[in-house]
Amino acid sequence: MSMRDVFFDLGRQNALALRGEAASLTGTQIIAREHDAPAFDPEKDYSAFPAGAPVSDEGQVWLLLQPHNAAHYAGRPASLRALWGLAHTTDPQKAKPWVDPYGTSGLYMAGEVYKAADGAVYRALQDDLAYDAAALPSGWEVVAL
Amino acid sequence: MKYAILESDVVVNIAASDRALGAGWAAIPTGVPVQIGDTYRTGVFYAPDGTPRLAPETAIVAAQLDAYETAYREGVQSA
Repeated sequence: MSMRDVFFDLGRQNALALRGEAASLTGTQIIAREHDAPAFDPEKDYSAFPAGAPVSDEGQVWLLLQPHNAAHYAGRPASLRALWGLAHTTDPQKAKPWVDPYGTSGLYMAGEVYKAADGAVYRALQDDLAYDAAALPSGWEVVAL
Repeated sequence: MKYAILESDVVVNIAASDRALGAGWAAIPTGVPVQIGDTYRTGVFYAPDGTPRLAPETAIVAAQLDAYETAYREGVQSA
């Protein structure tokens, strides 16, 4: 077995491990292992994937809410919010850009962070935040990096 | 030892000397193919296209690491 094969198998095993464990992990734990989340594939059949399985797409980590065949849907996780939920992290070093919640999906909980366009990282001071720091300054604090 | 003479972090000349000759000079590690026009940041020289200048033996190792990273990503994507 070549070293390339070793690394290929390692990546595959780690991805499968993360997928199997994801439903019991927090968003912070999943994003810490996002290098083991495959990129979203609009042609892939996710029907056999467990709920909670993570994919990466457009700089975010999305968690499968409803197993489905992506080829049957037009769009990506960001536009298919009934099928994909957004993972958040409490780790400022892993903060992702802001994404508007979709109903109760993707709300920011106390301690979770996002990175603003200017690079500043904000931490939620309360649960269920649906608005960013520009719209609701009292709900957020700036995190010193 | 060769030295890069820098202006605003850009290599404007290359000199050979037994000793460094003041501010704005950066030692060029043996084998690193620095050229005029390169940029110097935090101890690394970069070609105008942004790729780091590496000694040949270092470049081989870096290419291997890139290949392993690619293989790992392909493995993740195959899962």
